[in-house]
Amino acid sequence: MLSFENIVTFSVLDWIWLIAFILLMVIFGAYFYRLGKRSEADFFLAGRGLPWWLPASSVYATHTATDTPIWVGGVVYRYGLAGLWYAFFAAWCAISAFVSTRIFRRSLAYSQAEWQTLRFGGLGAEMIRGWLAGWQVFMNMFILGWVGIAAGKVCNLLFGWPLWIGLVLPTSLGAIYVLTSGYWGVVMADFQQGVIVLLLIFIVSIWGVVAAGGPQEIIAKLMQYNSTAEWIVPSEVQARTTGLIRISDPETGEVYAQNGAPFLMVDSGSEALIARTEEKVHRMITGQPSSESGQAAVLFPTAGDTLVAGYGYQVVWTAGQSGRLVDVAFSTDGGQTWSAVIENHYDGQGWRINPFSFTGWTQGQFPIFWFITMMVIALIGGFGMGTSIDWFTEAQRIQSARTVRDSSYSIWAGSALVLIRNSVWAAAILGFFVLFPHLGRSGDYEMAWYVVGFNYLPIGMVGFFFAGILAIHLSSVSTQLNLGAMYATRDFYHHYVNPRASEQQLVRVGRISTFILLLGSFLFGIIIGEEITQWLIFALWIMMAGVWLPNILQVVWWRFNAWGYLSAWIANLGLSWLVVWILPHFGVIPALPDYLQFWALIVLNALVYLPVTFLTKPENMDHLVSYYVMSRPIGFWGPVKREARRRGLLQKEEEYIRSQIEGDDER
Amino acid sequence: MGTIFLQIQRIGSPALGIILPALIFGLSVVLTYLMIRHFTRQEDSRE
Repeated sequence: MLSFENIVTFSVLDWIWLIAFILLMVIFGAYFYRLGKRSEADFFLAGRGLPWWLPASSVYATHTATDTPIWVGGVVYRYGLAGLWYAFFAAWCAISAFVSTRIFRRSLAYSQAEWQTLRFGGLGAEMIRGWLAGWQVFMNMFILGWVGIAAGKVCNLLFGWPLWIGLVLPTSLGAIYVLTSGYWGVVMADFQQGVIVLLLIFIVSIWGVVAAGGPQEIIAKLMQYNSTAEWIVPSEVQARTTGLIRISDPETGEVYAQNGAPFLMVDSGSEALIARTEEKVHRMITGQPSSESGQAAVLFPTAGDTLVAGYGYQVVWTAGQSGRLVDVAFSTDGGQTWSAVIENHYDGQGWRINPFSFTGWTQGQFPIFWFITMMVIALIGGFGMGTSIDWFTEAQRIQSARTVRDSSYSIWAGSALVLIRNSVWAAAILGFFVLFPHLGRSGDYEMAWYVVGFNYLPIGMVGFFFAGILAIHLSSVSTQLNLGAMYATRDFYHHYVNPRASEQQLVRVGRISTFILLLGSFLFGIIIGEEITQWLIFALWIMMAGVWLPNILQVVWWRFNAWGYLSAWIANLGLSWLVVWILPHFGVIPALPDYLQFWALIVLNALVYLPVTFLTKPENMDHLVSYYVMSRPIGFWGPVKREARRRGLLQKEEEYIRSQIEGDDER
Repeated sequence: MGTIFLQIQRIGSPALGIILPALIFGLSVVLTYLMIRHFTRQEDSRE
């Protein structure tokens, strides 16, 4: 069974490396205590004086959390290299670096919540600020909880510790330097952790590829293996039901292969049965394809196999023509009616090395519409603020850079590293698939990268590998702790409770907020339990889908006002629950695929916020002019720009630009 | 919980368990020192 207890033995050398790296990271972070305690700007933004490469390494390190290899491993195992598109959303930074990053840095807002009051005015803006700050504190706790429970899961598998120890201990290590040094500690430790983790990812991935026989061997085996499709046996099957599997042509319906005799499904089974069955699945996938004889066949499940209801398996059939799409279906009534296991699925395994192996426009596991949706989210999202859940951490890094140019470079470089990291991971996951192609449960294959590291690295490297996992964890939790504390301090305490607070008071409140967030994250971690992915997807959806377009409109369109934005948020909270959970649950609408959920929420929300925007007054022109002159947004700002020019507020810059152009001409 | 046929197959010389972590640890220490020196000098020049 998948248990790291069987494979991980910590030698003395492993413990030495682990302790050495922990001490180095924590002491280094805490060393900047003297700088962090000076002021609110130091505790949360490192005094806005960092060269671009420091926030860049922080962007990279922060977005490499303990659950990231779980997630990337999962999508690459399931979708092959095409799964990398799931993680491509980091590309929003490539656009943002030259658009929203620059606009946000010029505004000098500490947080996104504060920026809302610069962009909008009056009561509406204050309501948005309060709401967004509260939402962010909640989200920070939530993210800390799910990252924490991922660490708990790893510690549980490694050492057999109860989940709560793995949840509490590693996060508390990060809290040491966040409490002492604030953002100074976060960004300095992130740099160090980023270097360690980047090297570690390269090393483990090389080991994973070597373990699978090298790149040529991986490709050769993928071309040779039989076809598979993931299937979770319906949990509602009656005890001892028989079943059949059929492989057919999606267009003509021609049956390529079908069981001769039925297999058995039971409502529960022993671990020994599951282990025996999966050994057979492995054998069937890696065995020589029998299609050479020209006769396609279902290899698993077949007569004599017993499958357990609710358990995930890989259906196996002989590899046919390269590039052919098939429908896989099952029947529990002797072949009279068929239900889809998956539609438009690729034959063989060669498709895994093609990053464009889409399964039709709307069908199969990776439809083109889903790809288009992800590209729109990734690229167009860069024009807005808050279009990605990562924006809120990036915003802090943007403001900590010493110039507008530094902030641009940092966001661009940080996200470029994230995309490079994903590709390196993908190579290791393909190697893992070649070694373990039979896993039909996401919970198992999501651990691919960890299995590769703990299974194949030499003694001594195992302790270093675990230190690297801790570095990944610390970089994420330290950021979330400091960011959540910033919202609590800057947007609640400083803005509403005590606007005249001294710098020392603000730092003290920052530390208290950090501690409260830490405790809250433990609570969330316990609530979330192990269902990380489900919570993650819903949290991202509720954050993104319905307010995605308003988050862009608020940056590029002067007429969009606070009431429009606020109504979008309120509508989104209700509509996302309805579209994602409630209506499908009661059968009012079918369960929509992710990309349709996104577009449905975009349209439904627009039906709320656009009328609200046009039925309410535009923002006060003085406020808009002030914001425009400070931030220089791009897009549809004509009336505001004309007014600013009329007031003589743009002359200096225009004269400067003119002189530069004329200077160029003369040169 | 799925079956992964886990047989420890450590790849590479055991010496790598000392050399690689030591190199990365050394690099981290050097970078740490350089960072502390950089920001200490920067702060001194401000004061």
